[in-house]
Amino acid sequence: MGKAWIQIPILAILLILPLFTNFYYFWLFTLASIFASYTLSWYLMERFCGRTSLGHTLPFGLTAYLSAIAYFFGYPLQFLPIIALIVALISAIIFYITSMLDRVKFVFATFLYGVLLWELAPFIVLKKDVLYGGEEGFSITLLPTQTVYVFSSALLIVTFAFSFILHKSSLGLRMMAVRDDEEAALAIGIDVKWIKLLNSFLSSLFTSFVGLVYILHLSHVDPDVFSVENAIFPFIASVFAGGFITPVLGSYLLIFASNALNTISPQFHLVLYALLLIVSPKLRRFSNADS
Amino acid sequence: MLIVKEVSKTYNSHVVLKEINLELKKGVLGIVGPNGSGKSTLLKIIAGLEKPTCGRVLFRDKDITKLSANKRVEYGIVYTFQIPKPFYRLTVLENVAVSCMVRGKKGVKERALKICRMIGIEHLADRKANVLSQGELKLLELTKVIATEPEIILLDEPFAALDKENARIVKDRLLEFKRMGYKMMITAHRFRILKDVADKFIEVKEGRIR
Repeated sequence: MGKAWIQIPILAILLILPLFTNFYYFWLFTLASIFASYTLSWYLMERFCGRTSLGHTLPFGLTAYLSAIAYFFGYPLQFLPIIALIVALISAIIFYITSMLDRVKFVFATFLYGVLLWELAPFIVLKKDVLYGGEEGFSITLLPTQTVYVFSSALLIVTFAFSFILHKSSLGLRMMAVRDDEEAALAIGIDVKWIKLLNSFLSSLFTSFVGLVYILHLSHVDPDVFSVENAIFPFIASVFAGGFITPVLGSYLLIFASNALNTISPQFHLVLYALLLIVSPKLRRFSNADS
Repeated sequence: MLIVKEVSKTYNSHVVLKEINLELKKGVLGIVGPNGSGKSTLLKIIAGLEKPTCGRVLFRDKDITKLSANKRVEYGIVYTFQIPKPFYRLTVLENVAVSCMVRGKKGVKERALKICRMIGIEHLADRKANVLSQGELKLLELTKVIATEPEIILLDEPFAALDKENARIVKDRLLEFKRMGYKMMITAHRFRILKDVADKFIEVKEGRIR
């Protein structure tokens, strides 16, 4: 799993580096840190319970969407964490029920959730009170990027630290036992159902708060927050072997590479995503051996 | 005392077990029978890993038929798989430590190491389970079972797929468990392999006790 003394300085560099860049890169670094937290939150489920979700756009996008709608109806920004918490609970229940399926079916079922929301989101149009949404999406007040960066950095540090602590804890060990073999875990007295529910909740909770910081950063959300691209992002960003810092580095690289590739041609970054998806089975084998 | 009362198991229309009755008060019960006779299903039903179609399982005069497998481990009934099922991406010590946790989370590493020493696998402690040989995996399976501090151990063909040397090592451990007072139910294809370990035998054939 790698040593903390290597991983912590790398994280510190990633978080300090934006302070010495111009506004554009500062903004991009903020986005990268948000997506790094997103990948780590997703990784909590994949790494600890062996469930590959392609539906984490559910807590991520739904929190962003509902926060924007709540803001539209006059709820203050301070109210938005409650929305994140509610979405986390709903998502945890959905993920837990889905985890009763086998691992392959779980991947496809969770993928379906994201796609369904992607399809349904444009239908959120409230005409009477002039809430149109639809393909346009919703906006909230624009916060200073520096303020959002404080939130996104704090969230990344908390998610990273939590992953580390969980990995060293007895709860983490029981989760990893469930990941390796559910029946064998049950046979030595582990309450597999409880462990899976708890894992679903923790992963959903962090992802929901990432969704909240995401809407604060962009100040706008549209149906594409549920896109396939966002659904597969954490999967692609975590294909490389290593500790918890690898998914973080993967996320930063993907955000910056996507940005660079899109200057060549719009959506050109999807070619990179596709290439990484193709090589992912081979890379993941190393990743699994390492963990 | 463990009592199995009128237990039957049917998959679709196929009868795997039919009205099985047995008791385990003390010592070691050997269950012999050919492949597909229902031995493993019987042990899994006792462990709570399978549900019986009908019948009951009683432990210390309490009906535990509807109790989940993990709760039964807390009660002291634990099952070992015919094909070892270690937690492949964990080390041997972590495998044993996680098994210790059913009896509390304090000092699990020390307890796990002590049990590894007792079984004689402490030299494998830091090795990942996915690099162990078949013989080592069987010993790890036994270590995990002991780590749960059981009262009754259900061993599903512990000698399957082992060479002579490893079968001897496993047999020595089982004799040691017997001396330590663990109650055991052990399945095997043949009577001969269990004759030194078991005190009593039953034969299961086509889902019935003969």
